[in-house]
This record gives sequence, structure tokens and C-alpha cells, in this order.
Amino acid sequence: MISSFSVRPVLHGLKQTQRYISTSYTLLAEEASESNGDSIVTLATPVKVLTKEQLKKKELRKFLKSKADARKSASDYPLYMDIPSALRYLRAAEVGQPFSQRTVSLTTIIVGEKGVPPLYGNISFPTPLRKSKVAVFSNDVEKLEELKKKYDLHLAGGVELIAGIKDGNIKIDFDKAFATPDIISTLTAQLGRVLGPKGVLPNVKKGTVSDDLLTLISENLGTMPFRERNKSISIGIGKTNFSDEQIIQNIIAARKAIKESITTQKAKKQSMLSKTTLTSSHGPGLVIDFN
Amino acid sequence: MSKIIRQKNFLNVISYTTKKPQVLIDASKYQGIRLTFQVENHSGHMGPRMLWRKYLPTLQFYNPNLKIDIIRVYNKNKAKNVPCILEVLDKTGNTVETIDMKNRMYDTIMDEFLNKVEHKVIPEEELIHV
Repeated sequence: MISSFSVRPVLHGLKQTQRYISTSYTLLAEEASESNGDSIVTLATPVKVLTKEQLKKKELRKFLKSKADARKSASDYPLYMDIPSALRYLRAAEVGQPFSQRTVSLTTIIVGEKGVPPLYGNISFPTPLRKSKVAVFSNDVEKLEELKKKYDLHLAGGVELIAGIKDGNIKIDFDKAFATPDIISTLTAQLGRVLGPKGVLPNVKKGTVSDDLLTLISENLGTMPFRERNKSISIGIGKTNFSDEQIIQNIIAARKAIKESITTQKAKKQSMLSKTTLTSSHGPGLVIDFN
Repeated sequence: MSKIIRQKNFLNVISYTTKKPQVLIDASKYQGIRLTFQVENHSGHMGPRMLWRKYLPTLQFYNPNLKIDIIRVYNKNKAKNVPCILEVLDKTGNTVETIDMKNRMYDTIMDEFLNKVEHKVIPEEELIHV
């Protein structure tokens, strides 16, 4: 016979009776059905399983709430601050940290309908955080030599470069990749699954594949790519040693690029920008007005 | 405690509740400060680390143009001696004051720093409270 007072636990010499009584011993539903009526048993509460309709309703409620939040003014949030005061707090929080860890970043929540393709694009910062690393894939050796002379390329090569990346001998630490049409089929077949999720696979749709690589690179060199992940966009927009003006200019550039990507989005209903926070590596997240 | 209250407390610790470093350092005389100490706590190097964590954010908040450099040295060897000093730099970048921080609490280090450096205490009404 199973009862809730059958086994007495040893509790480090504390007031055992009190502790013991307050601890309830719950039987499983199966066990409860087998036991007799003499013993004191507690029936296990069944786990609430939502039906498909209930789940749908729950999801809809969540979506409507996020949509209402997106319409809210930034100043309605309790942690709202104007950008210079937010930066003052972030700089104070980052005092004495190594320079590499003093990055100020901006995170904005994206509210979009189900099935809408994620936002992506390029931002050209007036004051870039660092030089962007560029990789160029091409079978034309002469063209590559010419490009190497003109630009400071991180990686440049043809089939041997693809093989190196596939084997893991060459690290994928570049931010942008360009290619000529002659190599694109090999590149997509060999590295599509590796570069694709990282957003650095050259693609005709993205406009990163062209015969005229010189103009393509000159147009895209000073830009920083961004991509929507987990319904939000997070971008590093400066370092704490940047002046307020430089950071505000970078924020304006980021806003312009994000809004442009929303207008060019292929969807019936366009996505909306919701709460935007400014934060740093060790600092707090402060809501700013991004619209 | 809610997330927002916790965050407000974090901000207030920087700008309001930490009283000792709520001072304005004479910007016409000093360019910044430089602290050198160990990463590890042994050999009396805990005081400067606590000073950095507790007081320097507030000092930086009220003196945004004061340059604060921290040099932390890795030293697992207890027999080896690593300097544990705070240097006050003038406008040209020369050291004008040096404070020995070894085997001292962060409070006493801050007191000595304020004794040696010309400053003005910020009145209560000018403090920023979130």
C-alpha cells in the first residue's frame, strides 16, 4: 500500500516533522488508481494540453500584442532615454574594459506577418567600426591579381579557395563575398550549406555576382551587412570612444537602411519596427527613439 | 524584483547611490588616471579591482572627458611582484601624483585620490536619478 507518509526523508537534522508534513508526495495517476480507499493519496493533476485552435488563438493574441507594442511611442517605455544620456550611461558602464569589448550595439524588434521573408540589406556607416573583410571567388587569375592590387582583399581565389574552406583549412571570417558567374555553380554546390546560413554566399539575387567585380566591390566595400534573426536585427553601430555625433550619424544610417529594406520587402503587409534598444558589451539596454 | 526595477537600480548605482565618486575633477589640470594592478586578487591587489568595479563608473559618468586607463597584468606566480599603483596624469600626459594601492581597501584608495586631486563635490540637486 502506498501512502504519502510511508517513507520519512532525512533532512540534515532540521526540524524534520515540520518539513516533512509540508512536503506533499504526489502519486502518479496510475498508482492512484491501484491504491485502496484506506490510504491518503493525492491524485496527480493532468497536464493541460492545448488544442490546435487554442494554440492558434494564443499565437494570435501574442502577435496582436507585439503589434500594439510596435505602435507604442518609445517614450512610453520606462527605460526610455535620449541617445546622449544613454551613451553617457553606457560609457560609464564600460569604463576600464578592453577596447575590443567596448562596442555599442543597436537591437530593434521586427514585427512581421507569418511567412514574410526576413529583412536584410547593407548599411553604409559614415564612421565604420572596422574595415570589412572581403572575399572574392573567381577563376580568372588576371582579374584577381588586378583586384588584389587595387583593394585590400581578405581572401581571393578560385577552386583551391573553395576546397580550402570546405576542408576547414581556411576560416570563414569574412563579412562579404563576391564572385564571377563562371565559378558560382561550383561555389553554390560545394559551399552553399556552409556560407548560406552565414549570409555570405554570393548570389545573383543579392547582386553579389557580376563579371565587373571592380565596380561591384567599389560600391559595396564601405558597407556593413545586416540580417533579421529571431524577429530582431542587431547591429554594432560604434565604439564607446566615438563621439555622440558619430554614433547618432551611424544610427541614422542604420535606420535609413532598415527602412529601405522594409519598403523593398516582398510581402502583402510590410513588417514594422518595434522597441529599439541601445546597449554595450557590459552595459544595460536602454530604449531609444528609432522611428 | 522586476527586470525594469533591477535595471533602474543598476543605472542609479552609476549615477545616484554611489556617493563618494560624485565629484567633478578639475578638467583644466588633469587629463586622466591610469591604474596598474594584477588580474588575480593575491598579494593585496583586490582593493584596486573593487575600486574599478564600484567607484570608477560613477567617476566616469560625472567626468565624461576624464581618460581612465586600466592595465591588468596576469600573474599566477605569487613570488613575482607586480606594481599596484594609481597615476594621475596632467594635461601633457605626465604623471603628477602616484598612489600606492597595495593591501588597501577601495574606500581608502578613493579617499587618498580625492585628497590629492583638486575636485568639486556635485550638489545633491544636480545628481541624475532615473
